[in-house]
Amino acid sequence: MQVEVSRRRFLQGTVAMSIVGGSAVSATNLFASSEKESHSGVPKSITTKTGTGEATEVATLCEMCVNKCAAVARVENGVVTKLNPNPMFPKSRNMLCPRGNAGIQALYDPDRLKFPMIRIGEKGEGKFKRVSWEEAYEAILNGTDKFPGMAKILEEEEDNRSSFLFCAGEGMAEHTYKQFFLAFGSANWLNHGSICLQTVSSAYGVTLGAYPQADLDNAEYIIMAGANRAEAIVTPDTMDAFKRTKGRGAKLVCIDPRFTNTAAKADKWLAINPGTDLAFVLALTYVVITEELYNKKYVEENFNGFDDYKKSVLEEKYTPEWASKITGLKASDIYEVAREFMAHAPRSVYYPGRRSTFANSDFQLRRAMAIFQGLGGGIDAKGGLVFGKKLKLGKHAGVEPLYAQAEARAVEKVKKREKGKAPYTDCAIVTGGGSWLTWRNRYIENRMPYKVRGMFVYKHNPMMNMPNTKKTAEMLKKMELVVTIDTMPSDTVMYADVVLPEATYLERTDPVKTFAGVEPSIAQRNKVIDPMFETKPVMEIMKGLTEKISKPLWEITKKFDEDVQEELADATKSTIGENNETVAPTKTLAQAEAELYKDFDLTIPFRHTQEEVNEHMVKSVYGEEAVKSLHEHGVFYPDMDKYYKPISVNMHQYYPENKKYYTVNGGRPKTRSKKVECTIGSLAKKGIDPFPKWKDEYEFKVEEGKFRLLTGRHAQFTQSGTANNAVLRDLIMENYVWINRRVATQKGIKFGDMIEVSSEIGSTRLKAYPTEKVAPHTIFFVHGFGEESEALTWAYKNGGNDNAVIKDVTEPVYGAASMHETNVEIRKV
Amino acid sequence: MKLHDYVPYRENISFGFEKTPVTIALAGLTIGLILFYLYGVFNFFAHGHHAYNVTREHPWGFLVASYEFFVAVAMGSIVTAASGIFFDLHVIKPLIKRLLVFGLLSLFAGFTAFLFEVGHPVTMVIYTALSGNATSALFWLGVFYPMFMLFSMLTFISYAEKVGPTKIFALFAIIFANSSVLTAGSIFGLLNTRLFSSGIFYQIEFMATAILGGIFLLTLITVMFGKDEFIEAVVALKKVSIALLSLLLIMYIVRYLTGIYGSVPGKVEAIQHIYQSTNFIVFELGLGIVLPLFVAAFGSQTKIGAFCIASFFGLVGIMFSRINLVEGIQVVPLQTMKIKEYQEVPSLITSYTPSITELGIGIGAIGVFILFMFIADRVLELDDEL
Amino acid sequence: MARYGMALDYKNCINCKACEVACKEENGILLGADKHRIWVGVNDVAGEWPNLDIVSATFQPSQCQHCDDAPCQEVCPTQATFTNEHGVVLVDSDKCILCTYCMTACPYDARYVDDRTMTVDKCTFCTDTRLARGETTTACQNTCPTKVRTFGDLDDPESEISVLLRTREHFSLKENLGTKPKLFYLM
Repeated sequence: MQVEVSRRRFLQGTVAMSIVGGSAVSATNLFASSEKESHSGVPKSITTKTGTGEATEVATLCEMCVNKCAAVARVENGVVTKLNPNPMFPKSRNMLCPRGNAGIQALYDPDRLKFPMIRIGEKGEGKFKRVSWEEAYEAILNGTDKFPGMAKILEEEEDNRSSFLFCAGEGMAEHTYKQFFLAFGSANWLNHGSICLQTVSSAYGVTLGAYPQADLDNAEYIIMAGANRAEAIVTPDTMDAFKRTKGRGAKLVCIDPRFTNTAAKADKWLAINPGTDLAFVLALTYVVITEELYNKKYVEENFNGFDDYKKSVLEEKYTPEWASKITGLKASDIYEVAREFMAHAPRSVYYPGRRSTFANSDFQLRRAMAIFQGLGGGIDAKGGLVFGKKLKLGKHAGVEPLYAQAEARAVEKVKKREKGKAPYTDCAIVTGGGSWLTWRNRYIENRMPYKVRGMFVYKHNPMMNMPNTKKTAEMLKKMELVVTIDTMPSDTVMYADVVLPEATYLERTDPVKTFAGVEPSIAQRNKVIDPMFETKPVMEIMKGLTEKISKPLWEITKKFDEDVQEELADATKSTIGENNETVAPTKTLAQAEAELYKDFDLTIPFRHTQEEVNEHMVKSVYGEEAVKSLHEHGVFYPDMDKYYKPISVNMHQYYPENKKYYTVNGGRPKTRSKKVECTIGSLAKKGIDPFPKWKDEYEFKVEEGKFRLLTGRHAQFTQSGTANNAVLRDLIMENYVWINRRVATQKGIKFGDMIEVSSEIGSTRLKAYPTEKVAPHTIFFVHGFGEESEALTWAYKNGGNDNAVIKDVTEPVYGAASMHETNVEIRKV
Repeated sequence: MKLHDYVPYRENISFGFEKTPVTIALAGLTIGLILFYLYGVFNFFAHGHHAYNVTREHPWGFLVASYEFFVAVAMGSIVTAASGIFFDLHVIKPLIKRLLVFGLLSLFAGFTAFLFEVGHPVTMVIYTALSGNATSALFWLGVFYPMFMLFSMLTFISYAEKVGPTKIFALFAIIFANSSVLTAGSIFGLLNTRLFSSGIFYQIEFMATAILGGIFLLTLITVMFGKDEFIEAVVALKKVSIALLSLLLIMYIVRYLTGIYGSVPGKVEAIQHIYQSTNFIVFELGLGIVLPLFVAAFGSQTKIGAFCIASFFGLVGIMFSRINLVEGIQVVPLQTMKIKEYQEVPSLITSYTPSITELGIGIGAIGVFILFMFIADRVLELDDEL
Repeated sequence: MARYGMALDYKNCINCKACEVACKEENGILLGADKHRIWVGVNDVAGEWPNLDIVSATFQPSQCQHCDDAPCQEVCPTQATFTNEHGVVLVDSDKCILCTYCMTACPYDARYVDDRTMTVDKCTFCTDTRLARGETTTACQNTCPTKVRTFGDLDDPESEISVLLRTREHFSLKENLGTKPKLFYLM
């Protein structure tokens, strides 16, 4: 990334840096070691040794992944030297994973975005000019010679607020950013849902009423299919499950096409063909129905529409023998799992999982899993699936105006709506998070109902996170105004017009959040050190931006919005009094405008500091002591001082056993009917099977000489967000492609050979790792590598990018990306 | 009290030499080696310890082998000479002064290799004295070698200038020489972790190869410096060498067999790797043991030409035996599990090759040694007055 | 005087390497492939897909064993390697001469060379960082998601580690070499 920097501003930057920390361990030292030195291309030292002198400890919440584990940051001489686990948070149970510890390197990453920038080169070139915040806001509002501003676009689109797309990744400050989206009034919101857990959370949602958690601390039998808790760490599931396997209280059956670390920790591993889990679950259901192993009483009292489903399972003959052919598993294993599950029910868990959709059958699979769990009766029960309790929080002021000119969400309805078929071309149901892939594809194919011309991106990396990278690049190039708010110069940031640098999680206080579960709590992220360089937290960014754009955009609204014009006219016209006299209007136009503007004032959600907002939200419900606890300890829940105590050198009690919220709904689902919705008629109207059924198109097929590409996680990385973290790269330098050892030998491929993986949409290159942990017809490599942003010193062209190869296949219900439906070729290069 | 009373230097010092093809070749070789040595030293001062190829799994490299080689040759030379003094061995008498001096020079050459191997030589000198550790073989090395050096020097001065209790000095020189070599062997023998060397083998092997080294050096000197008066000694020592070489041959055979018998993990891989490599079979065994043994046993009883060539190869063999030792103790990985997902399972650590710097210092020291021998020969009066 | 050791419930280990990162962050260790004080050993799983040997796929966290009869201490010529009053084997970098004799003597591959001081370094049970501040846990123990490690006083019969060792079967690595390691793997 080339940055033209005025000398004065650069020097200012370095002076500001060196004021932070005067000891030998100082921020300047940390950044000085950004050169690639030493003999392996790894920086010599960017770890800090903790000292025995004075230090402050600040309670914060990690943001290296979605789990928000509670941490305590140790600050010495203004430098964060260590992140320790905060033992008081029930959800994370006194731990920090490798990424949690490596948060220091995210803070002191030499490549991080330091100041606002605007594009001066071609889109995607990565040529930017450093500007001040004021200049950046000005560029967003009025554009430059290279790109138009919001004012011009809205003017030309006649105040169609939906001409701007807002997208975000998950984070605690996402809430703040979303306030801007809601106030702005666009209908186009896309988030990570459709490239993450949309199908699983919605499927459990429609079947059980909510996406549940699993009580792995008490379950006796756990089926973990396609979920890799040993590497895709989720709190507290990871903490609980692996202490009890291998004969120490729970039996874990891991079902996965590849031998993950979870399989290594399990008591049994079943190597299933990718994407065929639905057949497995249907066969399990068949066994427990025919052998009458399921909890008949529970089903009678708590299921809706079970008879239709039961009839279908029996008529279609979803036997283990049938499933064995499709899944590649032994029929005897399927019988065994079904019988063992029901023997331990209701303390059996068919683990819901959390991951991205892997196959087009995913929605039906998750429904079948939810139903199977219900057959055992382990819903809202100790040792089964639980909903837990959510501690409430107060509300805060927001703005959500209605703009008359704002079009509805940019989805495409089918031209000839047929009964029993999906109403949209993208999918059957459009959710809040939308369907990213189909939206993007329609956008570049010019199938939008109106012009979408600009986009705001927060903590989101479309260039890396969704299949078919080429198309994402096309979309970003086509967008006329791209504003990114990020901490790192990611691949997406390279395509931006305006880059706004966010302060990392250690440099800001974020909205207080309530964490529901068996042991609920409220937790808060407290600012550890002041934002470095010229970065700002989202709250301040939004404050500055809205202060700049609110009034000018209001002018445009007044010009085109008929409802607003009508209201103003009504407020300022003379009325007829009781005695037919003309009553003068009570307000002048200016006064009426000022009053109406209060509903459209974009600055309202950002008037207070985050600390003030948090205090208000907590104090109103729990009082001053909660505010104090959140500030000092980062955590609060009622009776915490009574309940929280250490029970060993490693573990603590958060709630006494009899106070934990295992059952909150009388052992019943949280659906409106309080029953497990086995058959859902409304789905049929949209072209979706009303209960899970197998379709031939779900079968696993790989052509001769090709391989099914699987993607997944390692515990040391969070997708593409950590690719530049030097300490994490120290653990795994780059990703390798897993190839079955016999296949590799046959192809003459050895460990470390460079391999090109290619599909119809593209190719990528990475080194080979021959192993027996993956089937001969499958290959795997971990997601998040192969970045193309030159600004990322260590991530640039490091490893292979799975999304350059994965086809943009979407499942039919929500349009979520099916990530395991691509067959690829490999060759040695 | 004149210097001449203590150091027998010549009256006329000249550095000329007879220019035959052999001596010219030798001079050229020496200069080449010295340049190589200087290159290595320069590299070391430029890059420090990073100039070496030693790694976490393979911390000892070529310099350790080189050091052990030089001190072995030193011990052999000095013990031979000191024995000649103490036991009144008439046939050795003409050699004594030369052997003592050259032995000392070999010791110095070895020390330079050692000083470059150890990362902090000054710290070593200070703390070995202040806080030495009696269970450490290296500590005792630091005790015995200075004593060895001291008594060798005393023996030389006493013998050359005919002052002081020469025989007592000689006796102590022998005692400390043996202690030093035994300690050097114990460095490897006391490593319980490294089954390749743990035990008594290397203590004894060091002793035997040290004496042999002295004998080989002596033979080379005889021919290099054209000392016909030494031939009688060489012929006598040839017979000693037959005994030692036979002993070593038997030791190697038995060791190999016991090493592979029963496949003890940690031992069998190392023994097999080393004993089945060309480094061992061709250089250490073939050139180092079998060839000299053959020549000594079946060669001419009076002429030493063939034995001289065999001596050269014998010294090469001893150098390779040190190299094989250093390799052998480190070839079996201690951490047999992977520590990262994306790596191959640790197998034998065979990837070590000495870096140019290590070779420069280790082999180049030979050139320095030859140069010092030449200077010593010219400056000091090393022949007996007739 | 407390005599420190560590018990590892190694079956809990998921090979996330949080301990490795925490150790480097707490003790300021250089990055680099061979510069690690602690590591998680990974066994290559035996068998052919799909009949893989789950039991062979163990993860074994390891580090300096702080042996009661430490071979590294026996061979160090300058007593740079010494055992402090708590049974923790430490390296005094002022006295270390980088002879690396301790590295050839250690059976556990626990030692490496710190490039900054050019002396030998290894796990110190966080003696000069956490323990010096009065904390009772090591960095690796504290951060572990599945709570594999329990660090404590072996001479105190009521300490948690002593209770664990009394009530659960355990083994140590390379016990046949007589080093008396103080890391105990709970079975």
